[in-house]
Amino acid sequence: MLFLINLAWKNLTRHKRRTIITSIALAFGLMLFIIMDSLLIGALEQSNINLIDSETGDGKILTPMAFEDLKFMPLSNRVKNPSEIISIVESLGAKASKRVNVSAEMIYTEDYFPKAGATPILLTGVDLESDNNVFKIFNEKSLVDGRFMSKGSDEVVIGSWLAEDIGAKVGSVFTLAVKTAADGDDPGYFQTIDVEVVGIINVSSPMVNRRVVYYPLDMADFNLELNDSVTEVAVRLPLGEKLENFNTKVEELLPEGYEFYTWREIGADYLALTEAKSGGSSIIIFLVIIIALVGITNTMLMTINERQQELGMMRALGMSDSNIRKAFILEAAGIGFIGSVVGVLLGCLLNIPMVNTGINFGPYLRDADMGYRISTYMYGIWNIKTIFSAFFLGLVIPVIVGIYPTKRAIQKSIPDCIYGR
Amino acid sequence: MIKIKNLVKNYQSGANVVHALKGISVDIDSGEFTAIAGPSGSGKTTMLNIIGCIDSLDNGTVLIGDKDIGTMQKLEKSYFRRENLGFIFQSYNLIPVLTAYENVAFPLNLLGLPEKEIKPRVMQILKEVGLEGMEDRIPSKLSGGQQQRVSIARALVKNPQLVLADEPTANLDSNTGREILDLMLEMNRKHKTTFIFSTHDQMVMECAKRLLYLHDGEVIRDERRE
Repeated sequence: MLFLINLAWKNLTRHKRRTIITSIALAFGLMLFIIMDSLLIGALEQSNINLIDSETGDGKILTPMAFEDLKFMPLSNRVKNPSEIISIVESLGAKASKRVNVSAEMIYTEDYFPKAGATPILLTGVDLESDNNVFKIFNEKSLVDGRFMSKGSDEVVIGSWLAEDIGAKVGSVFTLAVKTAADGDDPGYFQTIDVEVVGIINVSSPMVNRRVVYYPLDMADFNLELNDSVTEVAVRLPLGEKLENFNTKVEELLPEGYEFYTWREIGADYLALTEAKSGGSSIIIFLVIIIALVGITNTMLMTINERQQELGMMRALGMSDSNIRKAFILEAAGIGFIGSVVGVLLGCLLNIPMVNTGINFGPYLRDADMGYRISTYMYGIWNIKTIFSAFFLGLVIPVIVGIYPTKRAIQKSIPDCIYGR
Repeated sequence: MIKIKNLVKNYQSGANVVHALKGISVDIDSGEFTAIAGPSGSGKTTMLNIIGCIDSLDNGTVLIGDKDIGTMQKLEKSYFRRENLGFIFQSYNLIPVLTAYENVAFPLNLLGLPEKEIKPRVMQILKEVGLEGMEDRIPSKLSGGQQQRVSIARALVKNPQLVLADEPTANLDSNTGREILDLMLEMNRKHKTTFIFSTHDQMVMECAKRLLYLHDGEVIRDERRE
């Protein structure tokens, strides 16, 4: 076997340039595999965390009708007794905060804005005392300019991208047009509220930065005639608590007509989109690896064609077909080994800044909605399983693709090999 | 040593059948230095390949010692060649990445001999073929004559019963060809190894102790010389 290894190694070094190019092709494929996987999984994990932190919490208690109408956010399906619901949630060790979410129109004039216009927004009434128990919106880190709104005042905080789009600044005043709550025979009516921008925030969710206007809950309650009802009670579980466990417990305690929906249920559309994106990216990675493998097959075919006479001689001297097969497969494995070592090393080296510093996709994410709940930096992760898989694939696949050319070489008769027929 | 009886070999060439060997019968004794001569297409290489167990026969029998090579399976032939036959090729067919030493050691590696047994045998045969001190050179750093010497050393290093050489001097100039032939003769004398080689070189034919002249797949002359 040592003799075969020596022979394979010498043959690999015989055409150094070809070996290096083929190994680099494989290494490049494996490196991309590691990096892309790191970024994709990292982005997905980070995006999920951001979705929870900015939009859904770990879950929400809603009426089933409100869950059905999540996209349109009407005020007709409300949680009428939020304090009772919050008490139930807190009795289970979780934290809760009530919110009102409603679709609204933002109307602005040239008095405060460069251009007059109107834009659809999501008006979110927040309980400033408890919102930070569930979400991570109102903190120093997210505040770009101004301050947060005060209870009992017509003040709003808006997302930085929305502010840029319409030219809003701290101190700008605009009008909110929003339909009040409908109850029974009362269909509600359109209410207009003049509000002042007191703060501009930038959070990790592009959705918040682009579309949300935060308004004090008490003012929303008053102006929208909600009578202490809200559209949702958002929940944050204690660390380590499983959603399924909490769901089972809370469902037993909730009054009839209310259900706990997990963030996965609420973000189902988003999750489907990001999973589809991951699938598409996996196909790209797969294609890159296929290209590398075609390179290896080509190299092996060239190698075998060039060495027909040599092969014939070795077989004439009594080298068995199985040893010939082993010799070529060892060569393929050699290319695979070099490619794997280099690919995994490069992949890991490049992944260090991906994990520690990340890549700022802000300029692209600002203009194009990629679906991810990431507004600036995407960070990679260390996926040991992928790194080992890449190394293993790099070793094994060249061996598999080396089988066909080797088989072809052995099929020829010895005289045909020796005389180059 | 070799008993060939009514050896027939046909090739399919497109729609035609080429009768390469038409029922050759010949005996070759142990230690003979035999040339198979004849014009191109006379069947000398085919005959050599069949004796060397690298081509199959269509009819007849070929016995090497007591082995009927016509009945051997592929793997059995491979083992037989490994243990009993040496080959010298017209274009040397050395492994370009291996040194002279490693090329000569190749058949012994195939036999699975330990390095401590391989080294003295290889060094000895390299000395005998006049390549002492050149054992670390790769083929591209050797002249054509030197490469053919390596090829002869590789054929002889395992002390085979029989060495088959296909036009061993065809790629060499006449002086080098003569040297190679003298070397083969010396090895034949020294090791009592049977040599069978094909040639159409007059000088080589004159050196042979026995000349089988083939024409259109038949032996038309069988001369023994002292």
